[in-house]
Amino acid sequence: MRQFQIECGAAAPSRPDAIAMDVHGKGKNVNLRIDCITRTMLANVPELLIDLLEIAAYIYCADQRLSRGTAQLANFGESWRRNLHFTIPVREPGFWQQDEVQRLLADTLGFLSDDSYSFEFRKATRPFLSRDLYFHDLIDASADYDVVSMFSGGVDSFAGALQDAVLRNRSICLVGHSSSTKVRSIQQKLVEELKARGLERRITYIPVWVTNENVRASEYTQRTRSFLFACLGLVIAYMSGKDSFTFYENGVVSINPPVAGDVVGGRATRTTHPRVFRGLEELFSTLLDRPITIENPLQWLTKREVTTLVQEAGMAELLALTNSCTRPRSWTAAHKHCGACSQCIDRRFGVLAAGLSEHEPASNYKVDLLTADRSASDDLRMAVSYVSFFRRVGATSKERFLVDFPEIVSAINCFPDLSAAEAGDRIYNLFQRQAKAVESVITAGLKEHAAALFRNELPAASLLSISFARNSVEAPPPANYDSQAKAFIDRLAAPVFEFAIDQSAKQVVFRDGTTLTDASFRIVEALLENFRSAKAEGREVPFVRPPDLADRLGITEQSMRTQLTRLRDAIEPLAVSLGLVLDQDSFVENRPRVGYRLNPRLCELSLADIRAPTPRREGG
Amino acid sequence: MGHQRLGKLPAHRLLPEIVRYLLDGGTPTADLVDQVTEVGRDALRRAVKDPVFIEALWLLVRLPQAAGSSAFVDGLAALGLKGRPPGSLPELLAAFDSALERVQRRAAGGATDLGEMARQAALSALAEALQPRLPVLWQPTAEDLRHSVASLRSADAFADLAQRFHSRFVDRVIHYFIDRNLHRMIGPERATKSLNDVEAFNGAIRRHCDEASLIMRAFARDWLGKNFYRDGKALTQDDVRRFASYSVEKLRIELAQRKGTS
Repeated sequence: MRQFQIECGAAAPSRPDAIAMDVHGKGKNVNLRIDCITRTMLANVPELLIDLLEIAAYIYCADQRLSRGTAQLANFGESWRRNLHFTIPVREPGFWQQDEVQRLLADTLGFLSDDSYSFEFRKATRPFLSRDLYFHDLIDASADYDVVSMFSGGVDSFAGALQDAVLRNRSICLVGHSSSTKVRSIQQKLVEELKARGLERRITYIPVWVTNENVRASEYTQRTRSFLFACLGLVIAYMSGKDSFTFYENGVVSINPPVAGDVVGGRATRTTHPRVFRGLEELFSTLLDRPITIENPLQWLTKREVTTLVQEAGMAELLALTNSCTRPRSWTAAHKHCGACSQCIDRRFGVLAAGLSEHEPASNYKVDLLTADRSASDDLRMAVSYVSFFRRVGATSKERFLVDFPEIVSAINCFPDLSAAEAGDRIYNLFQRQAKAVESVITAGLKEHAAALFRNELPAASLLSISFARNSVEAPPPANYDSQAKAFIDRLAAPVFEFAIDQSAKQVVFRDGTTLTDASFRIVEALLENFRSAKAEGREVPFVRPPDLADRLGITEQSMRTQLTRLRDAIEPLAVSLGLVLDQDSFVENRPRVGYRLNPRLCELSLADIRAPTPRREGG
Repeated sequence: MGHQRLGKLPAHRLLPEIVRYLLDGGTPTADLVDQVTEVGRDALRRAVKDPVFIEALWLLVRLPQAAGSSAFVDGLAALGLKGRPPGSLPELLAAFDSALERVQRRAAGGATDLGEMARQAALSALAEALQPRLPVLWQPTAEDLRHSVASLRSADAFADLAQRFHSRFVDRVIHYFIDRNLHRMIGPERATKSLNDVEAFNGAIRRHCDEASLIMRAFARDWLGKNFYRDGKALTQDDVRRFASYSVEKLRIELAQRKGTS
């Protein structure tokens, strides 16, 4: 795990292995800007929340500057997880230095990002610039909203906003964070369109910028983005007199179990995972000393069901203006979606399953979901993984759900109103509905393109072709094959520790060919007579006192103990080769203050027998 | 249990044959077989040093023992499973998961993806072993759950649990490697690949892991039988680490044997 030191509020690092970050001053390299809030709102912000905003901005920007290694994931992804130590000047160090606050920060950020966090908060020693400088374009409008919601410009946040503003007649403040002008223009366009459709008085939009400045941000994974986003939400909610704010994310993507084996831990993004929300609620409630809640009204809806909300709100024609693609750099005037990333694939399945394809032409996607050739690069991988995953989900019984998808477990105790069992059932039903939606899109595609498939006109690497082709037909083994294999092993009796003496070669011989020679042989030889005679007469094998054994060997007791240790080391490989469960008394047994003997459980064979082929031992 | 005594374990298919699912018509598969085998063997070698892998295995040993004792609540707390006694399998799994996550977070210096894979493999093994032991005619109570967990403390049940854990772990490790390279294995150039083929391949890999891990099943049984039942030892993480170093080595040898030509 790579270690990083991040010195915040500094123009230059104090040591070569550290990086410096600052939100202002001559070394300013973190840009934090919130637009369009009202003057009344600004007057209400306590110092603690300005601290929180700065801390979140530092964490988010450092996250983008510090590499997680390459996609090769060398040494099982050891570089993916980073150890980040922040030194941050704050206005209220007494609060931030509390162990509980630091634990909440480290735990929640740790689950969110897979990184390990530690903090050193110190009292700011130089005057900070006025907080007003973070807030631009102040306005005089009313700040009385029913809901404060995070707004990305994707289908989910748009549908959630419509559910609140249109279907529930609530006024809503949309907080939009963007690190690219392309994303911001989408958010602005959607807000304009909503206002133009009579929602002028119900929609307020507050754009926020948090970006690195004058430095290269090389890490694009941005796992801490939702921490920043949530901190912004809390600040705006607080300014608006609210104790809650809202994220809009469909339940499947919120829980986001990995669809492929290489997507381990936080590489399946946990941006809106229920566990993250509960951790943030605890942190924010401690911060403001009153209960703060983060709501996700779409938690129990699939993408198809969320997309349907857009139509129910009568805004289906705006669907095509939303954007879910995670690769804004690949957007062109003609194609605003790459069609290959997980978000594009999930969105398109949702739109088609909801029957809203007429409101979003296939041409919006650079790669068509079902019929495009995906052989280029790794375009096929995500699509195949996605469909394969939900096909597996669809074939899974409720009893097997947590067995086959154990990543779900981290979410099931994160719903305060539900028991873990109830949450598990609801998540299972949610995923089953999503699996059915995926299946419905594939089967509808089959009907639509049946002739093209029959004529072999679809590309072999299109998702539709791939879904139905079959190269090899695997005949399964007999139904009782697995149980018989296990029973075969389970019938084996515990192995007996066998040895033989090769007197002419002066060695002890074991089943696997391992031998004990020289000093180790002499120890065995010195104990052998007692062992043989006791066994022959059916009595307890007597111990030899340590000084007597040392005497027989002609060495000191200390040398004898050293040789015994070597003997035990020499037989250790027998555990692997013979399946023997060994401890230090398994061969030469030592009873403290009594002495040594060959363990009575040993079985001495003749040299010929020990070298004979291994007999199969089966128990009763 | 040893290879010495058993000779060849049953193998429905050897690895080269399985890998052929991913490459067209039997073209050279040796490199991929080598890679898949090596990634599994390498992972196992590293896993015995991974604190989450060891903790997961230790919990699988100790949790049933705690459930079988009269002081269940104290026993759970001593294992790091916080809160009230679990009333359902999902609650138990959530507590088990949290305990492992805490170890994962503490292992700040050396955490890798192996720890995460061990965590998920242990959850899967525990859920799979417990599910058929729970009553089906009524909603299991907390007491039913405790009895079911306690029933896993026998040496035979531990052998089954340990085998599942090792099998799921290696299965995840192989997919960790394979899934990353799926785009190079599926598509028209590969001529034969499809969703169905990938799923058949996944099933064959699962069986490969189940069969390869059979080799440590009897060792696990004998180990618990000797140490806990015969010698009455309170098994520590160090004991489990020693057990793992042998059982994992058995599995590594078996994986190497299965990369032979079929």
